[in-house]
Amino acid sequence: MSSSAISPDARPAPAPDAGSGRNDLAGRGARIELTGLSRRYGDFAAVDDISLVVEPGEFMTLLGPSGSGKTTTLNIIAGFVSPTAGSLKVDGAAIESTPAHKRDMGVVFQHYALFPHLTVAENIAYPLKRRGIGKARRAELIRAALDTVHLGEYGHRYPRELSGGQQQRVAVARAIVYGPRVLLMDEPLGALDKKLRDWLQLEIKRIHAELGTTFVYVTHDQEEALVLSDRIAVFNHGRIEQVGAASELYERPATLFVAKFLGESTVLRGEATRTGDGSAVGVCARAIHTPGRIEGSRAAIVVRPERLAVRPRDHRPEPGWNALPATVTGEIYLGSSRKLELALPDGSPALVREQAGMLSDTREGDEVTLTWRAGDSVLLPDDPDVEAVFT
Amino acid sequence: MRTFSWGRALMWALCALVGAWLVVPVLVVIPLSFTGKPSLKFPPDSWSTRWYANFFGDTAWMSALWTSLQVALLVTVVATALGTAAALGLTRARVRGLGAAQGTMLAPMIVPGVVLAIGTYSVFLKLQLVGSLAGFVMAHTVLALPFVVIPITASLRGFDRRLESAAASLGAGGWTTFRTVTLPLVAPGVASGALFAFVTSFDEVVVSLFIQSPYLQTLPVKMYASVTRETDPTIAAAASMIIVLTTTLVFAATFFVARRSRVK
Ligand SMILES: Nc1ncnc2c1ncn2[C@@H]1O[C@H](COP(=O)(O)OP(=O)(O)OP(=O)(O)O)[C@@H](O)[C@H]1O
Ligand SMILES: [Mg+2]
Repeated sequence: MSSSAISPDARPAPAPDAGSGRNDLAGRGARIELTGLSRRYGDFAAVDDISLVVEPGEFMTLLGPSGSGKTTTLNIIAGFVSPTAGSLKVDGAAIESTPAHKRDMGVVFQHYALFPHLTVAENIAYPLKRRGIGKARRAELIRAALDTVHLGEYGHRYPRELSGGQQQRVAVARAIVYGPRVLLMDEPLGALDKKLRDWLQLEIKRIHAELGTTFVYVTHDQEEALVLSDRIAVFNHGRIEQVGAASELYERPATLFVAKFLGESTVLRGEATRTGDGSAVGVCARAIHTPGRIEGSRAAIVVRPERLAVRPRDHRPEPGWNALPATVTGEIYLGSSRKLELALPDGSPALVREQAGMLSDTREGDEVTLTWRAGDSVLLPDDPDVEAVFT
Repeated sequence: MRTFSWGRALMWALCALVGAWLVVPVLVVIPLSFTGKPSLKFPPDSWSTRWYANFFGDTAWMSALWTSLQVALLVTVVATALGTAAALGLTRARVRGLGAAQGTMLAPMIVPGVVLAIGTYSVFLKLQLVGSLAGFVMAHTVLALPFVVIPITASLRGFDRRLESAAASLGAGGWTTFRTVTLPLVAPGVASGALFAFVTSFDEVVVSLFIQSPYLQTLPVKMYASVTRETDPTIAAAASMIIVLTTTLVFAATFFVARRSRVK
């Protein structure tokens, strides 16, 4: 993921001559700062005391399960919902009391929300007219916006005459044509099929790189979040569990929820005790070592499937490695890799991913030893609520 | 291939009968208006256009027609504006007693006309509105309001409010959003409301009879007065023109609405 992490300063400066990849709509993104933001409906907190800073030009994704408060957060930024507590700043200026139509942000809705009585060009002209931009300049900007989304020839059509993917691109064109410094998108690809979604993801990524606008993007699809984002904020029950680059969330999840929501993992539960160089957790009557330390003793160790290896039952672990006996219960061949499902002596599941070319000759039903480096064990406080979310 | 079925034949026969029942009394008036004799005998045994000449030559008939048109147009404007505002309130406000408000607004549709007429008359007497243009407009607006509120409410319920959020995000304030997004999209409902308002006012008799004065009469009032005093076929000519006017309006509106919904 680090290759796609774009820092605003590393972004290439727009070339002076148009036509060499420079987008006419490019500008600088704004910095968004949420501090202690809450939105309550009666006793229920849809958004519960969240704080988040989105840097200028950053692509920030709000990721989380259904009902976790992503849309509410986005609507607070857009001005459609007012917070019941906390502050919201854009480039340092508090805007909680600025009405939506004065915030100068672009919003792309899940169901496009194109005006059905206006043509594509008229839809895109709409925000320009509200800003009193003259006819000639309007035509130029509409052209630039349509070119950006590769819909140059569709200006005269009505939205109902376009496919879902085309409508979505018109919605993007309409939201960027007036050069907003922030673009908010709420599951913009949610209603499209997988193939179209994959392509539009790349389009959105390209547009982000071309414009330099700050993007805040809502999705519940972790793959989409990984493809698009500079950083991801993981939402759960109206709170932010962790914010970070995708690799950070994957390699160093801060909570069990993040570990389980992003990618696959094996979770080992037990009592943790401190050792000289970390902790030891009792799992299936064996001590599993990890460099981590936590408060309290109810612990969960998370190991990613590509970090686990399968060895014969009589294998002796090298120093610095953990080992557990296990039984292979299933195998899934995926072409470039193979997934093995295993059961530990206490019945809990484990998951191993082997790259093609490095496959062990393990079969279903084999009694094996599962090994991994102690350093690959992420130690987290156990959270019994997490199982409820994922089962 | 459709096969003949007795059930289907019976259904068509019944429909034809009901259709005739509804339409024949209306259509009888048109040949009557071309009768050659000063009587309302049907069918006429001679033909002429003298009753039309009579209608357009008589200042009493003409001023009644003019009053009716004036009142109906004013009612259309006032009732459509009020009805749209009311429908917006009824579909969007988050307050208690919305159901009661709606019921009150629709009451003129259910309350017997005579009851309304007596009430209106006694209030107008006190306010000196009897026989005034303003009085007619006010009374007819009350009667027309339900017919405006119902279609506009229906349009608004089918309206996607996210379009208004989108408009706001694009820089449109409340009034601009209403003018450029909401109103164009509920226009078919507003148009049919306006049409109903016009027609309701234009053919209203009961309340108008109470609040008229010898100096200010609407067309239906004048017709009523005419038919109770003499059997003059001018009334048939007037009736025929009302039929033609309202039918044209309804067809024009239907066409307009059909075209609008194709645009969407
Ligand atoms: N107007 C409202 N009144 C009451 N509760 C609300 C309201 N809007 C949202 N909620 C509640 O707030 C919680 C968060 O809603 P939100 O729409 O932000 O979730 P989300 O993360 O966007 O979920 P999804 O992925 O399903 O869109 C939900 O439990 C929802 O029921
Ligand atoms: Mg949502």
